[in-house]
Amino acid sequence: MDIMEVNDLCKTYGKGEAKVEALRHVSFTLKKGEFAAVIGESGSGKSTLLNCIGALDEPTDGKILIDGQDLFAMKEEERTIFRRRNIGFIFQAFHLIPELNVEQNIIFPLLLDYRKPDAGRVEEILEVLGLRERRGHLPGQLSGGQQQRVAIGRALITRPKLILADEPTGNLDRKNSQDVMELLTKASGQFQQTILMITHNPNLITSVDRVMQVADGSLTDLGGNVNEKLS
Amino acid sequence: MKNYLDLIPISAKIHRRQTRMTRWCIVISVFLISAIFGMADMFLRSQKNLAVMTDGAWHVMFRELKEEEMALLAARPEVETLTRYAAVNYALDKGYEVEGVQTVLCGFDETFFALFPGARLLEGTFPEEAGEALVTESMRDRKGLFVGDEVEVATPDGSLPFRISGFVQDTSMLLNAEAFGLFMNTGTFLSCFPDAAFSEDFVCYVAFAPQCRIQKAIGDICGQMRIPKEKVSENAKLMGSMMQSSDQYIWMLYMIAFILAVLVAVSGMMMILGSMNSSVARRTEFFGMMRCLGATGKQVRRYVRIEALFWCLKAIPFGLFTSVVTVWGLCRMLQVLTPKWFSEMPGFAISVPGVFFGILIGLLTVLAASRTPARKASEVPPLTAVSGNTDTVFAAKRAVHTGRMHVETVLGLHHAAGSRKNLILLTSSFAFSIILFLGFGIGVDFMEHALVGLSPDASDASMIGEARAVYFTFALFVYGFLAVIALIAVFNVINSTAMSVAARMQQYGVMRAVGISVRQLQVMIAAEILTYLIGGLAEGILFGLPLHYYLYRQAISARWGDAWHVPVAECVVIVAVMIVSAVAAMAGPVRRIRDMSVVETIGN
Repeated sequence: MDIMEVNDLCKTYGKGEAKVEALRHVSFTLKKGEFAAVIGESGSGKSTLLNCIGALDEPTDGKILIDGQDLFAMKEEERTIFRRRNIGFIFQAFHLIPELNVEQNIIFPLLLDYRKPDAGRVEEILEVLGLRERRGHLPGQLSGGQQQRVAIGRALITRPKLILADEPTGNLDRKNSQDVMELLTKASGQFQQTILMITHNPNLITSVDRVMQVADGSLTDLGGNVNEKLS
Repeated sequence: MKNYLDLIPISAKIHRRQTRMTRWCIVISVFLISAIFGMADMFLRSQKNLAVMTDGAWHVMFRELKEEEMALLAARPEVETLTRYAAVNYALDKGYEVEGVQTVLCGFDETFFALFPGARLLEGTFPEEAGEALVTESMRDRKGLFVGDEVEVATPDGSLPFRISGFVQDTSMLLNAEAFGLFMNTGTFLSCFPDAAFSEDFVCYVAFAPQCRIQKAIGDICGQMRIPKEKVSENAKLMGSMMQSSDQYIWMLYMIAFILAVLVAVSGMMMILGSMNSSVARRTEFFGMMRCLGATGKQVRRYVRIEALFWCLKAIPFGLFTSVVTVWGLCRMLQVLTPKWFSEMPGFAISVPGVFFGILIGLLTVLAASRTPARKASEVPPLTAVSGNTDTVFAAKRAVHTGRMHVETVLGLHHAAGSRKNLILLTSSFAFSIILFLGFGIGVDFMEHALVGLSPDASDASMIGEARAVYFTFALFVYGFLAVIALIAVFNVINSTAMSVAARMQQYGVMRAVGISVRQLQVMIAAEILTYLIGGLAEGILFGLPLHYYLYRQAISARWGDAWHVPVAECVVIVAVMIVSAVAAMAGPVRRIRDMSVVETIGN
């Protein structure tokens, strides 16, 4: 079952001679529970793609359907609510709310939705993330790896249709990077989460189901057996 | 470009919009200070001119001095002009008459005309010869007299003949009493009335030299010549307008004016500080980039301070220009509306103290206000600054308590109250406007008391148009000034809000990415502003009421004996202004949040 469908997506910045085509007619789909990675050089357009899918940026042309709903046919407020319920974000720079503790940061999207968090679900996530002991800590009191785990928890709490991860290990050391990848793989396998991850670290793509490459704004699906194709 | 500071004018062009508020704040501060001092200067000048016309240009009057004492007095270096003056039949009850009309006979020196510009010689010369006299124009007109004619004064001791040397204008007292006046020199007077030399009506008017410390000079003269204090009188109106009065009440009014001027200067400083902080917070990335490129913290600090002075280059002259034009307009308005009180108002004069204090306080305020933003800018870490991570927000020290209220409300309250330092700074800035408003509110009470009977509510049907005009002119002044203070309050609230929002923009961007709606962010900002507002109102009323009480006791109770009352109307007005400005202050930040690019804001 397709959870996400990108149709003929284009994104252009500037006009005339300064015109830059960041995305050119990108189309692909993701299935439920699929863990996909997008690779590409710096400036290739992969972040633009992620930002458009996450409704943080508006495409110039094309459609993005998540769970059958056209993201850019919605009004702004509606899209925001849809985003917090259906799309989880994991950023390279973590981007936690400094005055909320670990537990509050994780349940933040639920609080924005005026929903009461399920205590069992919160405990489960804290347990999986290994953050039970640090639930009352502020982000400033955590290491980078721990902060990224909190961000993963925040992305998981609403059981979103799609999790978008932009270089989630970019600010982490090797050990923490491995932990984060294990958590994402577990989320994809255990919770049937669909994940789209951007990375330029070739070591990370070994654990994903499918790899796509963006170059000069165009997307090429490299399929599942990546290592062979890359070699 | 030869120096990194040459970037300032270039950057000023690019950041024109971001720095607009700061430049306006400088203009308003300079305008206010310069206009206050300028109007005070013009007011004192007009009062001085009016006092000179009505009561004379003398400073002190000595009674019952001996001839040699007067000579000693005239020889003192601080005494510029001295005139002797004596009168008989001043009360028109002694039977001195010219052809049946009661006549006042006066003797004085020629210097009299210099000290009493209101007494004008219309024709002829001062009576220098014995037996010569000046007479009033009414006598001339009634009797068809000419210079050189003889006039006889009937006295209880026989008649006195005088030869007319000239004519002087009638005084209002003589006109009202339908009496004549006849004026001779002191020598003639004393030869006619030898006993007058020892009467208490024989007085000596003294005008001191400019720059003389008059109270000290009086003390010295009385001490050295052993003159008792009760034989010395001051020209209270003139001395009051020269700020040389010994009247305690006038000094109290000066002190109140000084306190209020200081409050205006401080509020101007807070206004500039607020907008500069806001402007620096919005340009954190720019300062971070400068640090990345190798600028030292000290260089960034210098950059911000010189940039502030650069704004002054245009803002101060503009503030001065608007204040000069406003002062001209107000002077003209006072002249037209109330010529009786302000006919002597200078027309198109430029107040040197007004311009001087406008420049001085403007520059000092800007320099003082730029200290904190300069330090903040210099402390921007190069790395976080380039990623757009503002470091101007006070770091969180404790987690918020979610659960009882919506998370956006809780976060808004926490943004305001999470850091005590931030809360005190912002609420104080709000409170200051209220304190200032209540302080200047005394002007309304003062006006009601000083112009009693002139108000439109006064039941006296005979109230003439000019009296009404006086009342309305003062009301316009007092309420106009209160309106300007209310405007400062509006600026403060808008600046504080803009500053707070600008400092948290990245965080709002992250929240938008995670799924907060614009409406929820609006609630968050509203909760934050509401906290400042409630804190500011409480703090402002807590400190403003005692100030109002003190000023009321000094300015109103001391003079008219009225008991202090809570200024309910002033409180209601300023609270309403603060609430309305808080609501209006939301518009800008909310628009910025709505238009914000989440991707650019979080540097994703």
